[in-house]
Amino acid sequence: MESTLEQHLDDTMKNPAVVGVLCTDQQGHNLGCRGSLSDEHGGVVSVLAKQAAALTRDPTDTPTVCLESESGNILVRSHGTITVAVHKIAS
Amino acid sequence: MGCCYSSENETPSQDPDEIKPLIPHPNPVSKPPNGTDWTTPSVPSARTDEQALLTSILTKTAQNIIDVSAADSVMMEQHEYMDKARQYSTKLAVLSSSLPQKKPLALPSLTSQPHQVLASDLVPYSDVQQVSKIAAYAYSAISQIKVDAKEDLVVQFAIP
Repeated sequence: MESTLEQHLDDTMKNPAVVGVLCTDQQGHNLGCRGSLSDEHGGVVSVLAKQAAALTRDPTDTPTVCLESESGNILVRSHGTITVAVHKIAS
Repeated sequence: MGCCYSSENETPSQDPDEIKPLIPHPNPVSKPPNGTDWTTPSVPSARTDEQALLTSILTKTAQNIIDVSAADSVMMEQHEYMDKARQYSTKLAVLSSSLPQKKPLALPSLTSQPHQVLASDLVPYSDVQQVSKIAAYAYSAISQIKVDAKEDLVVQFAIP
């Protein structure tokens, strides 16, 4: 059943600028990860997305959290009950 | 805040216990603060309750106020000041060496070039859109993971 998700994560990594991808549930448990993002980042990622969502009253306005650094950006976005983080480097 | 009852007329038929205050009036301050004019209560029965309350508030405030302008400024010689500073620093050194050192946990520094990171280009909107697409696709992929009930969970306990 998880093959669709695994395939999707692999397809995301095919993008040359993407060096890491992580998928967590609402409690920060890892649902799937590749590359530079792993289990240990699950908690932080899910909490960041949750806190950012608390900035607005509109539940349909899902924010995208961007962590910018010299070694690339990590973009975190929630969709429904899952949170996805993508680590992109400047290509 | 309003007044529940007030009466101008002093009726002699009033019970003296009724008009006796529950909380005795505090001793009025003997020395008036600078620049304030005090009128001593001459005939308490003639004043209304509000005026007595105001007077008590004023006396309490006057008792609690510390007039800084009236205090003498502390004049210390330069050498006295230096001596005191030296004394305090030696005491501190003795105490700090005996106390256990507790280093505050420093936040990890994410970059040595904050200006470069802040001045660099914004995250391109195409990246943001790409991530939101990835998230949407991942959500639909995860919704495929569900419980596939093949048998009953609860069965009859059959004894052959």
